[in-house]
Amino acid sequence: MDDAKIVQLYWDRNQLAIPVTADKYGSYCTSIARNILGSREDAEECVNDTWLQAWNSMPPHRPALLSAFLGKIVRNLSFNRHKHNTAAKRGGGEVPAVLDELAQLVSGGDDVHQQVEYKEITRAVNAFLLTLPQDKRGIFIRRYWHTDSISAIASRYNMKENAVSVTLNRLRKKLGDYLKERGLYL
Amino acid sequence: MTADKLYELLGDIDQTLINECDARPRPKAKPDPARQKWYAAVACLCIAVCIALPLMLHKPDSPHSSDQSDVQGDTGNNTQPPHISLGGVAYYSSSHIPTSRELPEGYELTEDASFIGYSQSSPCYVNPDRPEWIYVYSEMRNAYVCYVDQRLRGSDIICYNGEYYISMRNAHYSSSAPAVTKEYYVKMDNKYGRYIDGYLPDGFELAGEAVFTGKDTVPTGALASNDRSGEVYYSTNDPDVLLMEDEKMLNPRYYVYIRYDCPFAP
Repeated sequence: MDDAKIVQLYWDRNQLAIPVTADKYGSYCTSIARNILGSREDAEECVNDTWLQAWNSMPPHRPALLSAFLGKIVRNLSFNRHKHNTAAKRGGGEVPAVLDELAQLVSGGDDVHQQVEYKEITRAVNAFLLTLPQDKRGIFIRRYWHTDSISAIASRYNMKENAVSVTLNRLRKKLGDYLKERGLYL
Repeated sequence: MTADKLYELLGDIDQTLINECDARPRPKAKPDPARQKWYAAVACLCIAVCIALPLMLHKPDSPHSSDQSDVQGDTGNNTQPPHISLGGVAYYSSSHIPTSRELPEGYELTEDASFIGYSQSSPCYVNPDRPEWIYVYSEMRNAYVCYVDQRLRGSDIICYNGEYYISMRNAHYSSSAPAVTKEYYVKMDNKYGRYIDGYLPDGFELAGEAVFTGKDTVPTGALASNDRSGEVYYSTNDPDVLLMEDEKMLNPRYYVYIRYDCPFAP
């Protein structure tokens, strides 16, 4: 079913909305949750919570890109679950490796004054991504948004794993430089 | 900032970029090199057969030799690749705009399209508000395929303050739908060429960063490009020219865009 029609089901409070969404985007959301959490059971719970949150968000939201809208919800829920699991000394998935990589870009401090810059940083990251060729942009998004493993990205882009790691390393450095040039320090 | 916070911030990446990344099909795996030589040998054999067979079967004196135009569609115009002709404009399928399971909004069926070089026609849809794109329903793909006006398809265009500039790489003058005149092209080619390597010519200043509107689209706005985002330079001495920096090159390279009469200007 067309995304616009699915969104309309939510707006009409039609209970078919959830099974139709699960049918179309279940595997997509599950793969994101599993990348982050590593556990099938945890991932399924987060995906079920995603449908509930989508139900509560529409209305008022009317997303133009339903897949990305649902992906963002499941990513946030899964990351929150990951933090909960980490506090409880359990958990797996790709997140620890991804966070290690991102740690190279940040100061590690928790400056409250930086709160105001968050939106500015998000805007700059989007602008930075638009400067990249499509393949490199895809590799960056696959790693840091979908939280795909290096091997999954290598397979997707017909690259060697080492080449993916080198590309990501360069992209992180380029992003850091791009933000610094604009006076944004992480 | 902590890595956790940065990871959360990256969750706010523009949804259109996420969608672009999701929609992009996986590249095909490279063929096994050992098999490639066999593929090449088979291809050579096929070419040899294709050339030899008509020569062997050709009977110059026969009054009933077949007319190849029968299989080329309704015009018999064999010089152009398959395309759709509508209102005197040729449309070719886009390499960039993804097919759609649903007919995009605003499109209506038209009976006026001619399918040139295709063995049969298919339902064709037009949108008066977007004449540069038409959609054709493909039964084989079970999807609507976007065809783009040949004057736009693959052309790198910049819109700057309401004026349109086309890349010297695409500013052809000899096709059936020339973008510029030969005189204008030759003049600009002599003055700037297709690109300038290594230095920014005197008098050029930064106009800003062009917003990327997507391939095969008509860029609109204060400064927009349908090729990519990038820094654009202008010169008050020569308002017919813009330069766009290619950031992928080790040394600076500036592609030359020339002002032209864009048929899609709003």
